[in-house]
Formats: sequence, C-alpha cells, structure tokens
Amino acid sequence: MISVDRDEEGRLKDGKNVLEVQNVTKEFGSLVALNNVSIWIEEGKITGLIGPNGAGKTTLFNVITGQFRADKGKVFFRGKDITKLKPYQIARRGIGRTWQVIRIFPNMTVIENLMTAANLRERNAGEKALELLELAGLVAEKDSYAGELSTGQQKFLELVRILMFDADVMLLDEVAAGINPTEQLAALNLIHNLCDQKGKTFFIVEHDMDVIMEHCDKVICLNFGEKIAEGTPKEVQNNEKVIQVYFGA
Amino acid sequence: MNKSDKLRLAEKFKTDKRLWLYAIAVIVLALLIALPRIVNPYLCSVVFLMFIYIAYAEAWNIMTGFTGYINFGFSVFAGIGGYASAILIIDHGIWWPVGWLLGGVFASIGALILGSFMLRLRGSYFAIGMLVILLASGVLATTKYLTPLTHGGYGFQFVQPVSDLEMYYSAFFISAATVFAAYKIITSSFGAKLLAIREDEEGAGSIGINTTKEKISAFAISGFFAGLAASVFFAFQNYIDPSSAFSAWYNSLPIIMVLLGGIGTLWGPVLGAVIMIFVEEFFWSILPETYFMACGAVIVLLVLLLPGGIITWFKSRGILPRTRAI
Amino acid sequence: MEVLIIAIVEGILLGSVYGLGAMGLSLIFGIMGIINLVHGEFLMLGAFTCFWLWFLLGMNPIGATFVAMLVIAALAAFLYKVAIFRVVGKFPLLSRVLTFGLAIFLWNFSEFAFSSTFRSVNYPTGSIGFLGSYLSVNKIICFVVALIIAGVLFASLKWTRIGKALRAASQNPRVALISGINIHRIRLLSYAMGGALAGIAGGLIAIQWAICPSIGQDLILKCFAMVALGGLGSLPGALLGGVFLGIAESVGTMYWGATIAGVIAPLTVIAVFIFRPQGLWGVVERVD
Repeated sequence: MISVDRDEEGRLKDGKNVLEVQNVTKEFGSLVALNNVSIWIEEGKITGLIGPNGAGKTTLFNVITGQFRADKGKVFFRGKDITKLKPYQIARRGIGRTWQVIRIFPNMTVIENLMTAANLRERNAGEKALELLELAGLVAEKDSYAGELSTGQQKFLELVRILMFDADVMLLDEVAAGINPTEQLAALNLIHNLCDQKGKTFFIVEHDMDVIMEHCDKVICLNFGEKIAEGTPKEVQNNEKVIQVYFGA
Repeated sequence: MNKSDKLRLAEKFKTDKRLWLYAIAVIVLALLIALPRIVNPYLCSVVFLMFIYIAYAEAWNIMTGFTGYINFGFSVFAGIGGYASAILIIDHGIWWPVGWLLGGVFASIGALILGSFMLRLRGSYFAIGMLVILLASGVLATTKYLTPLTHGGYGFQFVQPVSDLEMYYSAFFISAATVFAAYKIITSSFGAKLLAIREDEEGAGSIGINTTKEKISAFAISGFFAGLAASVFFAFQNYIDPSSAFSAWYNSLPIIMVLLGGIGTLWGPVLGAVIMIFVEEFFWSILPETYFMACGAVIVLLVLLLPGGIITWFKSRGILPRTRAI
Repeated sequence: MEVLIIAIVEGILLGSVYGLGAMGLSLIFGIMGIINLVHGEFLMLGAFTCFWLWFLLGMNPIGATFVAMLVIAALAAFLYKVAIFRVVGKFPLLSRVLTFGLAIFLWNFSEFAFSSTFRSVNYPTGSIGFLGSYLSVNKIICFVVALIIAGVLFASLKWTRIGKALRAASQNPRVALISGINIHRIRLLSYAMGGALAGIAGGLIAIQWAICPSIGQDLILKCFAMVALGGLGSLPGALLGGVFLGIAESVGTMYWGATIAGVIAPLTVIAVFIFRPQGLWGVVERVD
C-alpha cells in the first residue's frame, strides 16, 4: 500500500488533491470579491462552504468552474491548471455544478435535459439517462417539460444532469434550499450514496447549519472574500471568528 | 385487393388519423410534382417562389429558431450565394447544379468566417453585427475594388442555361432538403444542444456544451441552404445587383414567415412560407405602396399577440403534440 | 494641413450631434437591456418633425428641434406603453424583432407619407472664417445645443433623485426594485428619454443635412458604431464615440470620397466587436 504524503493540515503533499484553489483574488472594479483565497478539496469527501451573503461563495464557485477568471492565483484540478479554461472545458474534465437559482432548461423535456449533457461519443446515453432518472425518482416524468416539475424535482434533475457527463467533483450551490425536509433528506441521501459508492467529491454551499453539521466532512467559512476558518464541522462551529460573523456584533 | 382487404383498409382510415395525414401528404406531393404539366406557367412560378420561400424560412429557422441568436443578416448569405453562383455559371461556364451548390458552399464559408468572430460574443452583439454587415455588404459590392468580380453597382443580367422545368424541380428538391436537414438537426443531440443554448447559454456551457462551436455549425448550415436557395432564385430572376442581392426586404421576409408559422419548430417555417405566398399574391397587387408598412405592422402584432407563431400556439393548446419533430 | 484641421473640427461638430442620438440608444440598453432597433427611425422622425415645423409653421429651427425632442419622447412613451413594455426582460429575441418590426413600419410609413424626396431646413446664419476656409455657423450652433443637452443629461443623472434612480436601475434592476424604485416608471422614463435624445439629435441633423425617410437605416448604423466604440450602456462613451466617428467620417470623406466614408461606420462596428467588444471604455464579460 502506498502511503500518501500529507502535510500538517492534511493536504496531500504532491498537490494532487482533486481540487485546489491557490491564492485566488477576484475583483469587480473596486469590490474585492475574493481576497487571496486558498482552499483544497479532498476526493471522495463532502466539503461545506459557509459564510454570510456576499462573502464570495458563489464567486468562488464561478472562479472554479470558469464563469469568472481569477485576477490572481490559480485553480488546479487533479494537479492540472484549469484557471484559464472555459466553462465547458472545465465541465468536460469532470467538474459539474448546480446553481443557486435552478438552471434546468424549462422548455425541454426532462429526458432531453439529460441528453443535452451527454457526450457525443456515448452510445448508451439514452440508457444512462434512464438510470439517472431512476436515481432521481423522475422516470415517470421523463417526457414532461422540465419547467412543469416541482422545485424539488427540478433540483434533483439539475443534480443528476451533471452525472450525465460523469462529473467527479460536484459543486452544489444551496442544494437544500427551497425544498421540503423529505426532499432534502432524499437529496442528501443521494449525495452520500454517490460519495460512498462511487467516490464522488462534493463541495456544497449551504446556509442550513444542520445540513452542514450532519453531512460534511470538512467545512470552510468565508467572509468578505477571505477564508476565516477551515476544519471539521465541530471545529468551525466553535471557531471564534465564525461565531462572531454569524452571531456577533 | 379483395373485398376483405378493402374493408380492413377502410377500417384503418376510420381509426388512425395519421393515415389521413400521410394520404394528404402523398396527394399534395404528387400534385406539386405534376404541377408543371397541369397548370399555366404563371401559377408554376408562384409555386416555385413558394419553394424558395420555404427554403429561406427553414434556413433562417435553423439558426435563429434553434439557437435563439437572431440573424438579422440573412440576405448576406443569400447575396453571396446568388452572386457566387451567377458569377461561376455565367462568367466561368460552370454547370448549373454545381454552380448552385457552390453558391451554397460560398455562403456557408461566409457564415463560418463571420460566425467565428460574431458568435463568440453575446446575442446582442450578434444581432447588431449581422445587421451592420448586411448594410455594409451592399456598399462593398459596389466599391471599385470588387467591381470586376461583381459587375459593380448596376449588377448584371443573364440567362442561365437552365430550363424552367429544371428550376422548378430544383427548387422543390432544395426546399425538401432544407426541411429534411432541419428535421435531422432538431431530432438529434446536436439539435438538443442548440435548443439548450437558446434556453440558457451559460447553463449549457456549464454542462459541457461548446456553445461557440455549436452556434457556428448551425450558422454554417443555415448559410448553406440560404445561399443554395438564393442561387436558384436569382437564376429565375435573370438579374442580380447589390440592392437585390443584399435586399432588406428579403432579409425581413424569413423573419416574418418564421415568426408567423412558428419559430423553432419544424413545420412552422413551411406554414409561414405558404401563408406568405398567398398574402403576397393577393395584397401586393391590391396595395403596393402600403404593403411593406403592413408587413412591419404584422411583425409587431405577431410579437405581441402570437410570439411563438401559429404552430407553437397550437402546441401550447394541445392541439398539436409537443414533440420536437413538428 | 488646415484642411485637415477643418475636417477634424467639422467631424467634432457633427459627431457630437450623432453622439447625442447614440446616447439615447445606450441609455435604453443600459437600463432596459434591449437593443432599440427603431432608434434610427426615431432620429429620422425627429428630423422630419423639425423640418415640418419649420416648413409649415415657420418655426425657428432651433426651437423646432426642442419641440421635436418632446414629440419623439411622446412617441417613444406611447410605443413603450403599448408594445415595448411587454417584451422587456423576456427572451431578447422578442424585443429585437419587435423593435425591428416597428422600424420597418415607421420607415415605410414615412416613405408613404412623406415620399422619398430629400428635404432640407433652410437656416441661414451665415458662416465664419476659420483657418482660411469657412465654417457654417449652423454647425456650431447645433454643436452647442448638443453639448448643452448632454450636459443637462449628465448633471441630472448625477444629482437629481430620478437620475440616481436611473443609474441604480441600470446597474442592478432587482435591487433597485426592492429599494422602492418603481421599475416600470423608470423604464418608461428611460425609453422616453432615449426617444427625446434621438428626437433632438434628428432635428439638429435636419438643420445641417438634407433628409429623407431612409436616413433612419443609415443613422442606426452610425449609432451602433458609436455605441460599440463607447461600450454598450455607457453614455459618455456614446458621446465620445460620436466625436470619434464624426472625425473618422469627415477625414475619410476628405481623403477617399463619400462612398468609402460610408463604410467607416460598419467597419468600426466589426473591428470593435472583433478586437475590443467592451468598447474603448466599457466592461463586458464575454460569453465564451
């Protein structure tokens, strides 16, 4: 068995953490959305991202997935520099994301939504789509227009759609928001399922502290574009700066 | 057929509505094919024009209807096709089917080149840019640098070595080919990606679709059929000059037809073209001065009242099935 | 050399008037997010309004331009209330085709109503000597009027409450809505203002050049060039873009003749789109 070299923070030393953000700064005019942020994500785990509104969480996601380009710093995926790649290239390498405001294609059917994410070379795209629909509990709805689904169903659709192109790392922006507790549980079960059985990696933004506490292996907290805490859920929960941000004056 | 077979067939016609559709389609097609032999030449030319309109409308729809990127420069490709084919056939003696095909090819190349920089930008820029290019094309065709090729601002007259019958059937074939191409696209995963771009381009990018490449492909295909149909059209006109090649009217015409029939659908453009031919035949002779004005008003009304067009309205009401193949 | 300076000066004088019209286009795009394809016809109708007021009523041409401003603002407001408001914020295709259709309608209506002969406003204010040649005072007056209007516009955007509301709406419509600004009135106002700018610019053009209904097509092309140069949505950019274009056309006509100069506007647009789509001043994220 090959032992992997880790540093004091647990980060894989050879830099091959599945996802690594190094010293990223992103500015919009005079607004500094991300200030020298460095994070690393471990494969096969669920990492949470918390912070008040405007802290830069979605901006961080956007930088990772290529919608924004970092002004300074780099983003690495499996050791390769993806900082300057376009979003579709990053997606094709295996990073998928969902959005704060659901972004499925409302005027296309459920199965068509999945087919748009299929690789051209994939021969069994149709079968794969049906399997994913089963996972999401949407097989009965496969020919309905996606816009007609309930919010919870749409969230599931958005989630399994990124599995169509075999995303290994999935960035989920507020996956638990706007859906009822039963659906939340189902979604989180699905996430754990994918994590444990298929080794997928999750990086999720959440406002619901219970979700973070119960389901994340590691938590990162941002505020005003800077990382203020990082560690296990318990550690972060008890971190002074975090407490101040959420409850303090 | 014996008696029981006939009974079974009659039963089928009673129960299966689609059989009626196929029967009607066959009759219509047979009529169109036999038309030159049964009606006068004028009527034939009207139907001929209808074929061209169908091709124009469907070609425009392939770009704008499927990707949502509004192409305000359709005439650029019609113009390129018309000029290229006329120049090749008349000035260089190329055989007319090849000349026409090359007209389409040149238009397609034009679309590739223009698209390669226009389509990297947002839809706003594309819309403006194509309009600008159209307005500029007319000017460019008259400049002294290109006159030896394009015969300058006065254009040139010609008679291509094509018979009327050949033109008629070519137009028929080309319109069918354009509709068939649109069908192939919309039922394929390429088409799904295009529709995704129309729905949400950024979202499409985030699931791995190379939106620029797909847009340029659609644009090139659209340009090809536009140029091809235009080649036949100008062969019929026996005349081409910058203002008719890069005509603002034939630029807006596909927009009206597709808007009317159903944008982004398969048969919408066909329906729009058929309606347009009727409208043109009747109203153009009655009120020529206000015709264009009325068309502008019709565009406005369509956008306000029936933004998706007739077929889309039928689909939303459930009168037509919502499958993409319609 | 003097000839060049004169060409440049004339370019600045004319370009500022063009830029006024372009500012209207930029304003509408910045606040409502729609490309107002009927803007050229607003300019053309503004020109004709000024002409008819002068021709039929003997009104002073400068006064007529101010009336034209109000008339076109009213027309724009009317169009907004009746048609345009329905397509703001929906699929961009709708607003583009709608304004396109309106442009076709207004253009052909004008051809029908006014016929396509050229008209011009006769405003004899003489000319002044300048560097060995003559500069028409008309052009100087129009330039001054354009600057005054632009100045008033900038000042009101910066200092009045409405101006601040407009700026807020252009930067972040959703937040503006939450903070109590009536977004519908803002949009109506901005569309009307865009029309007003086009109206007065058109009137100023009528004073200097011969007009006919088809100038709308030509003018919108120029507006695109100016707005592209300045960055979609930037008002000072549009004005400066106008000056730039005016100089380019003026100098271009001098050296290469009017035909080539006519290609300058479209070439500018294409060049800007290829090399610097955000304009010389603006900031825009590209799609890819």
